[in-house]
Amino acid sequence: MDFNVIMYIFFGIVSIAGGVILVGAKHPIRGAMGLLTTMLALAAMYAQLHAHTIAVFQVIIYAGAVMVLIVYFIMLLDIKSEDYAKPFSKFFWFGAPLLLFAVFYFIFKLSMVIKSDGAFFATLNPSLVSPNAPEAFGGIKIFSKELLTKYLFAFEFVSTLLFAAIVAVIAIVQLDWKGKSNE
Amino acid sequence: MESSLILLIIILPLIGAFLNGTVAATNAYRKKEIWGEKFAGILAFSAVGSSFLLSLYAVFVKMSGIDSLSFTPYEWLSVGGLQLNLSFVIDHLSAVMLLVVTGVSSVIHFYSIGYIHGDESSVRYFSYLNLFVFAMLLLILGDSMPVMFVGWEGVGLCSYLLIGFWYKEEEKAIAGKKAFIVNRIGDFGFLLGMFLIFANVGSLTISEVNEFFHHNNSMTFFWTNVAGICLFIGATGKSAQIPLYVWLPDAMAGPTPVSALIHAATMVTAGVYMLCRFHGLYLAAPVALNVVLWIGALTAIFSATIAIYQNDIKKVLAYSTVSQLGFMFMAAGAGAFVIAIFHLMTHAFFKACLFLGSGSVIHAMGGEQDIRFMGGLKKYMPTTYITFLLATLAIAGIPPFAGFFSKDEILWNVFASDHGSKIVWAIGAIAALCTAFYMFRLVYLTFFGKFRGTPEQEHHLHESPSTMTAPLIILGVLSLIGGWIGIPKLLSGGLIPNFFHHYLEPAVSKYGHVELHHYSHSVEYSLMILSVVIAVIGWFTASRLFREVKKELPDPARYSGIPKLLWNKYFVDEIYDKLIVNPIKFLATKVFLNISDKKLIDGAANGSARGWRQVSQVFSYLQTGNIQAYGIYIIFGAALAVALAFYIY
Amino acid sequence: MNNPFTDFIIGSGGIYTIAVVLLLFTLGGMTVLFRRTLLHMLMGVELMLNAVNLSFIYFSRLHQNHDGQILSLMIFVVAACEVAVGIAIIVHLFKRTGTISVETYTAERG
Repeated sequence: MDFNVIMYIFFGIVSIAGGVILVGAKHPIRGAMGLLTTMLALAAMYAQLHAHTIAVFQVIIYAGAVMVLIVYFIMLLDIKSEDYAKPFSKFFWFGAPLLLFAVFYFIFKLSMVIKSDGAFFATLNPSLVSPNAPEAFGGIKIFSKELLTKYLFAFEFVSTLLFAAIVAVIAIVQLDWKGKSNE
Repeated sequence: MESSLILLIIILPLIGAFLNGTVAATNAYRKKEIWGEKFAGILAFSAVGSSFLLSLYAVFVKMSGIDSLSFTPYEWLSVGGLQLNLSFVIDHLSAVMLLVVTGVSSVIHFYSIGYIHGDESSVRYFSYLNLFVFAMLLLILGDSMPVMFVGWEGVGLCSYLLIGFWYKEEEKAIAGKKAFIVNRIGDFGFLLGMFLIFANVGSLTISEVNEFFHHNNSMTFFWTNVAGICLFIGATGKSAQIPLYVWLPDAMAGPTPVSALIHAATMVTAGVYMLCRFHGLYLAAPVALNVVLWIGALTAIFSATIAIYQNDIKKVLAYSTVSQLGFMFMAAGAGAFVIAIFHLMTHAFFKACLFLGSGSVIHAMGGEQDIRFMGGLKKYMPTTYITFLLATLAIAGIPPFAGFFSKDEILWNVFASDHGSKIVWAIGAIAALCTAFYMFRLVYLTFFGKFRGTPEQEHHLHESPSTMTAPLIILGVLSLIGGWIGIPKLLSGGLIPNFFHHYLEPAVSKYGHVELHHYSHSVEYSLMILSVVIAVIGWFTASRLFREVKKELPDPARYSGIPKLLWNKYFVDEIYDKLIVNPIKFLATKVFLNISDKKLIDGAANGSARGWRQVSQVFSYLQTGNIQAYGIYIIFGAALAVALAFYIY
Repeated sequence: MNNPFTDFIIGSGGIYTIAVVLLLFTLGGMTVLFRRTLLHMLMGVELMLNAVNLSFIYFSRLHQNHDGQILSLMIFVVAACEVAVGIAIIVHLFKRTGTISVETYTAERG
């Protein structure tokens, strides 16, 4: 079996393992580490799927910025309460098996459909599929060109979302300040 | 050019109403800094006056030689086969009405400047008055039934607003409401007639409706008559005929110029006008025409007898108006539409004059309206007296005053027409006798004898200002000469043509006219002399009884027998209360309010609310407030949907 | 002749990737639904977003089309905003009540 294929499967398993750690670990810092693992594994898969730019962003933004924020927050608050002692809510024991059963059943059904034809997704719309990716595909050059021409409006629009988020955070922080001054 | 002319005639009063109305609502007016009442009055008068001048121009210059001017500003609606335009037409019939309405309106607007002086909401008054003229013009010039109906409702609204103009006094507000409600009953009839005609004719344009009934009437005889009667019910509401006349005497609560303009000269004649507009329909519906004839005759005699015992100067005039309208309907019912319009015109002159004269008297008496406390005003207010007398001579039917020609022709047509009847002629003659009697009674009690009011009232007696007497003089002169345009051929020996007949003939006889029976000229002469004799008898009797009132006039409360019946207006209001108003009230409070409303509807509403509260109490256990629970509901909902999708495919 | 990895991507790799996506999504959903702290809910949402991203990238590769990649960039932005605002809210709530247990916040109980 090809090395690339093995690595792809391996990273998939690693990401799922990270997800399991996130669900199961008692202390949030361990969950955060599981999430970090998932993200890095996914970044590797992105790179294998010729999405080099997104893979880099995944590492920088997700694994870097977002996770650092979460981990920093966990350490900052340093909650040692009974919140962590009992990790699962009362719904877990009846909900989780049902959910997992549903998902596995879904995957099973899907594989039943696909069994007859391994290239199921490729055959859904063959005209769209081109087997060999050119070297430039997913690179920063062509990616940026697409982003700043075809998707310029979405790009600008999403920047206003970021701005709104900044305003929202400041508003919430001010709520704290006001609460302080009232007390 | 022609189109903008018609539009201007209609729209000028609306502009006046708008300007005065908006100012009346603003603060600037309340402070009286910018927009004084004089300015408002002059604005209103000039709006209507220029409308009158334009109408004169349109009728006498633009329409010389042609039958009609029409103008369609825009297409109102177009649904299926129904094509409805907002269109106006001036033919010879509406031209007469147009001139009467705008002319009398201008005179009365001018009079109002003096009359309403000093009232705190005079700007509002002028705004309403202008709006009324606008609505009336819509009614007159509208080419289709819906446009006419808009005007019809518009004048009803303005009538309501103006009767209740001094709304702070409760009885006046109630009188306004009464007028409005009674009118709505009539409007309902009008609407039904309109629906009936539309369902069968498929068009609402008046000329097409007339054409339909004249040429190819495919409606059955029965339904044609029903349509005619439905429209006539509308006319009884607007024109105060039995059984819907009760609102008009109460409508005298409004300012006197309003009574003169709306409740004597113009609005109340809308019913007569409408009948004449639809003469094609009515000539195809002889039963409906007969109903019109009889209702008109009964109303004429009924209200003429009531007027004999009334003591309120305006009430007498109000019942007189109802009676005269009855005469107009008699003429229409006999198929003599030209005469109906002729009497409408002369009546507009002399009745407006009488009302304005009574306004002048009331003004001088400081608000007193009871003629028992008047008398001898002749020497204090000569102009008012002379014009009042001219108008009285006209209404009583003394030649050569205007009323003689029109009333005599009505009686002659009722006597001689195919659709008329001798009995109705007799009723009309008696009503004419009563008319002469009560009108001269009014004149003698008001202007002759000694003054019977308080000394301070006597001290205040004065002639009204010239803004009020000038219109009186104009209308008084018109009451004298207004009838001369319609002198019967018989009387002038064919030397002077009957201008009025000649003018109206193309518009009103377009769809056939009613033939008169052939009588010898001596019959016509003798009837004419008889009607003069009748008027003179009424005059003479009144003169004997009331010229010099020696003893005090009896208190109406001590009347008995027939006077009591008449003083109480045949107890019609009481009968209506007992028969209609009280049962409806009973039904409303006892049945609908207590049983169906409180028990059934409220019960159903409250009960269902209670039921749902109990049901939702069960479901509220699902609303734990825990966000994760909600998430689980969503997930399972989605899972269920996916499972269902699997199950189906 | 394609290289073996391309064959895998076009062939049976599809179902494998989708299985990974579904599992990650479910695990994220379980974190959101069954863990008792607000913090875990936030991280669970992150995991779900990441799972969706993977499917976008996969199909972008399959169809040689950048749309999926750009959409996943947009999701990055949304996720970053969500984390920033979410953490601010959680900090605020923790300061006010001293706990980040979800079961505490039941203001809209019916």
